[in-house]
Amino acid sequence: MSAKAKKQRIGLIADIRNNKISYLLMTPYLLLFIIFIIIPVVISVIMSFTYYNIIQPPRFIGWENYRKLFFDDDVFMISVKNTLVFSVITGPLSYVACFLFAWLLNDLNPKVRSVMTLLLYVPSLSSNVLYIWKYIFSGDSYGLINGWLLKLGLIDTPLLFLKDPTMMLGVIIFVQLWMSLGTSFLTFIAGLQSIDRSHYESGAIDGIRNRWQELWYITLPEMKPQLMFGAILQITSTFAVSDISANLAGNPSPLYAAHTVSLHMMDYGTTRYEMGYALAIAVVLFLFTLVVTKIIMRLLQEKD
Amino acid sequence: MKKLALVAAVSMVLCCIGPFVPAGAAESKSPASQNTLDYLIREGSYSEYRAQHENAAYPDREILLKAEDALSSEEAETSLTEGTLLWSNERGTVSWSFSVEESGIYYLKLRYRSANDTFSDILRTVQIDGKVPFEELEQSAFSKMVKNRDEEIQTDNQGNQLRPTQVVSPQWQEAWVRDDEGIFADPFGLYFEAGEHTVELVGVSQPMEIEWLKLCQYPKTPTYESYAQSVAGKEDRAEREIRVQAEEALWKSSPSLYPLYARDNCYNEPFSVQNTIFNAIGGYNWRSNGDWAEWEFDVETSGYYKMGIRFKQDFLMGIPIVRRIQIDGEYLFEELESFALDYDTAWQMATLQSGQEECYIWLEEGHHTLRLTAALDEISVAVYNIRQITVDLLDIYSRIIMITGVTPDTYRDYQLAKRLPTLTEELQSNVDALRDMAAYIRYLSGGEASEAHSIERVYEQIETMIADPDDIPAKLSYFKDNITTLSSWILTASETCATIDYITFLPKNMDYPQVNPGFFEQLWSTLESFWVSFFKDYSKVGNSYDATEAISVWTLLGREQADTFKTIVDDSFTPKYDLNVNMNIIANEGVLLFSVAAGNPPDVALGLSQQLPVDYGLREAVLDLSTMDTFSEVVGRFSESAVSPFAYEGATYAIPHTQSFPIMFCRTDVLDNLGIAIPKTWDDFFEAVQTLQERNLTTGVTGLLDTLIFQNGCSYYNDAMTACVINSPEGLKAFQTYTSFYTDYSLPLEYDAVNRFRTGEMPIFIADYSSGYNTMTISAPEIKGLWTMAPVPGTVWEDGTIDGSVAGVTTSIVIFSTTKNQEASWRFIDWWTSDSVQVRYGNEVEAIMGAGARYNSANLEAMKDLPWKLEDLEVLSEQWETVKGVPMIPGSYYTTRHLDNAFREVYTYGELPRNSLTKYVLEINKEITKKRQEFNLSTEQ
Repeated sequence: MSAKAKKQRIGLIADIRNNKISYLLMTPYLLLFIIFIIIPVVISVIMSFTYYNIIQPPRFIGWENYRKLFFDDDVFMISVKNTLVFSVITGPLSYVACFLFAWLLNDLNPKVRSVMTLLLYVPSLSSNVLYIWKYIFSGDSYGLINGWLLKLGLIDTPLLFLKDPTMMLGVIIFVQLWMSLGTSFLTFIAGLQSIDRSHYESGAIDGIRNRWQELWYITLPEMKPQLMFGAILQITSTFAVSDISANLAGNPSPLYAAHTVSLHMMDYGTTRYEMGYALAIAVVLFLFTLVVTKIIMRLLQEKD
Repeated sequence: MKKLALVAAVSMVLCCIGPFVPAGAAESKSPASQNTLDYLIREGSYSEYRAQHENAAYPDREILLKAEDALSSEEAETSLTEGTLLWSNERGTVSWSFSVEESGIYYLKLRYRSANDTFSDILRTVQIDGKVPFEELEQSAFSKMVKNRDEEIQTDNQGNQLRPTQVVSPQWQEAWVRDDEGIFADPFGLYFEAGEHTVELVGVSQPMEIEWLKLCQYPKTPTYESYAQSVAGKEDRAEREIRVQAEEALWKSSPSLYPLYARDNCYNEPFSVQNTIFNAIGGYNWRSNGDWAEWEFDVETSGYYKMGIRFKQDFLMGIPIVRRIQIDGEYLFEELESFALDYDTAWQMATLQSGQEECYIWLEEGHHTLRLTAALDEISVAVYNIRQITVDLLDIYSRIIMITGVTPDTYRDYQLAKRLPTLTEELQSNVDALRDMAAYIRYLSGGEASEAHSIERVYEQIETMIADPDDIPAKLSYFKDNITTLSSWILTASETCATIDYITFLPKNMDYPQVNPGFFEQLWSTLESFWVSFFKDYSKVGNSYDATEAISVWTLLGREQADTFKTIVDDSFTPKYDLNVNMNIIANEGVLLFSVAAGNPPDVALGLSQQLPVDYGLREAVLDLSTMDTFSEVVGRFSESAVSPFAYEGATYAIPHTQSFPIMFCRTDVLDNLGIAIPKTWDDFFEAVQTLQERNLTTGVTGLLDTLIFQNGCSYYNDAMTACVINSPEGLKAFQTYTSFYTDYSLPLEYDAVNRFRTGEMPIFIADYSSGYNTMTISAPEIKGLWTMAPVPGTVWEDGTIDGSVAGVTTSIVIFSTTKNQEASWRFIDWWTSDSVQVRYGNEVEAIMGAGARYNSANLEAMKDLPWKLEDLEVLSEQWETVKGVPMIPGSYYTTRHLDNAFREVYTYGELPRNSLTKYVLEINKEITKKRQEFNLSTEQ
């Protein structure tokens, strides 16, 4: 073994010995992380090269799954398009919305702020609350929106919000936005609180004239770590969106209009008994998310 | 900034809540209460009959009609043995002729006995002189006597008591002919002029044995004062408490009155925190008027006893729930005839009071019986009247919507006052009646106004409609909501639920036992049950055995169904074949996939979807059952349409469990009004739709594509099952008819069938028979008798024949290939799907859960023995002969998916049906080929 490598290895062991306590504290989380995240990812990558229908043992087929995925699967292309539309719209929008709300709430007195935070955060907690949207957007002429529109004379027949391919994606994007005020929202609120007040004062002395300048020159730079964390969370979570779509529009949705990559994966994995192919999709999604995360980190590093 | 944020926040919250607040929530003035109410006279009802004969005399005579004097019509099969008449079929008429000397009102009493062992009540129509005097006598019910089959309650090997099997035991009973809905408390008083008369009983359901009929007077119950006087001055040697445990009821009128395990209070006797030990009776199961339970008890020393009942009534606030108490078959005094159980979320002790004094009952030493009967008592008048009002209002509503449509244009003047001249009058009379009703209910509930409040809101809203008839179209939806409120009110108000723990008789100066535990006792008990919850397995059902000596069955059923299932298994399968069964409940099918992947699936799984067996079978996860010894016999119990979805490439991978198919539901009253006959072909149907749409009504059809495909003589796949052939000319025709429902006739795609059927907006709809029927019977009592089931319309072929095929949906039973108990598992399936077991299960499940849980067994013979009304059974049997099964092949999920996509393209984008269908059939075929290649099957077409 080369001298350099040996030195590195000894370095690691020495490091552990020196920081025994730290490593010990990390171990429980590390263990869980390895068992439930690292190992399944590795297994998925390996199994994505097989044909596996869950019931019978897997059979190695090489690059076949990937070939089919990129060259032979129209529905995958539809799902990629849908997912991108989703992400491009919901990702930045919800990111900005999270920040905007956090910024607005920052100035309220603490009690009111807690109440409002709760109200805005709660939808993201209980995933089943989206059922109320099912009632609101129901295609029955007695559904809430349809009922009002019919009553006001704006339409004649009920609109099938969740079954009409032209409207489905819009509705789901809306619901997704509503439910997206999650962890990043809380992070921003905390982040805003942690900014040192003295910076604002000194900024006022230095010539900052209004709230917007304050935001751009002081608040945002101070919050860079939180912004990055929030961005990664928000944008990458939009790639994995599937629950809301499946519950509202069905899986698969009519004409695949609200079909996302995650749903495509679940379709192959659980409905069609082609788990090997589903894992290939999962691997592709994983790599894609990795790339996007790196890009975001790069972008936000450069911003000054 | 702060202000802006606050304003934004508040307005956000308001916006979210705003649309949900219903308008028209007016404040109600508190009306006076009134303490009496008359029955609304309804034509053809007993209320009218009674009013007509108000001033008749009540002659004190008895006319006995003996069994041997009966005359049977040809259809009735009767035989006379030793003074009793056995009427063994349910058809025909049995009549008696007699002469009446003194005109007046007589009551009819019957001495009868049940003649078979099914649970359904005996139903007969009662006629006087050849006609039915009022509609309540169209269907008079006589209950049977039910008891626990075994003397002792069995315990499973986990220490839990098993719900005792209920059986009917034929016993002689004497019963008055009375209203079994409890609206009229006393039996029906029948008027006879002096002279010759006949009384006829017409068969409706269930055989029976009759000893005699009697026309006599109904004895009046004495007041407590006269009772007390009559038993005064005796020696009081009462010493000890006599406690009768309610769960030990010996006789019941219905199998749904089985003992319960109430674990919410540690003073419930007997109490166990760990195991299911029965300690109460009733609850939601004791909700029908007339249901009774009877106990026997011994009195050691005669004396005066006071009575207490430990109960919980947390069902109905504001309206008193009543029990009638008979001791040794008699109502000793008035207070026992209407014993009120008040509302409270806690357990209470109710005592007998007459005014302010306590009532004492004289009990002789010896053996006695005690019977508690559920009764509607004073609220019955309100229920009856509101039911009548609801029917009237529904009629008004449907007349209005025939002019305005369901969502009227608020800017249009429909001239309702001119086109419906009697409108305001009718509404006013209903409002007046409702006002009286609400005042009466206020009085009854002693000021607790919750039940009256909903009625007050209803009539207030109608008052605003009367005040301004031009505004009625705008208020139409509220009007409809209010009608729905009234009918829900009827449903809940007629339920007489209460849970009873024990009944106690105490000597005069003994204190009543403590009803509820102290704070610490209850706390300890709660902690105990929390601790126990860590050790108890809640998914197990019944007896549980070591995995090596039992077959494991996983069921996709609800808990009550599974409990009943297991009881029958432990009771009848295990002893007969000496095989133990472990049963677990699973929540969804996905669990099975994972269990197969993990390598430990059960032996048998039951209640699965139609598609699963072939998918699993091809992947060798389940066995091919056609190789089993009694396969052909078992399969012969079902329609071929039930088995064909499970057959593929010569193997059959499952046995059917339940089967359902579409049927048409029709509101006969609305259709008669509009002069529409029940459609038999799709042409008739479309004509009917046009007439309905002219009147702003509509129909609903769902999932008919499969049915239409079969009706046009098309098959899904070619013979070799290698390609989909729906794009044949016949298939295209089916698809075009299907899309035309929605594109040409604009039938709604999404709708709530039940509610629209009730209001009459959707007088025809086609849906799955099992869920449609079950839902309709329970949730729409106000339209009882106004609707019927009919076969789905058929397609007319060129040669004139009508094809009425429909597509069936089945659930399945499979055996997993990893089983080590193949023989035993097959025995289990063979036994479970046999006729008698299916009938027993169906009857018990319905007895326990009510008519809303009617079991749609796939077994053809068993269906006939379930409590269907004859006319409904005929329709179902007729339709069942035309049921076809949709073939399941690998990739058939693609078929459903793409047919729906093709439909969406036509509906949303206006694409031509031919183009869409062809395009998507190609997709389907690609997938089928791919799947066949996956399994190395030939792909020749």
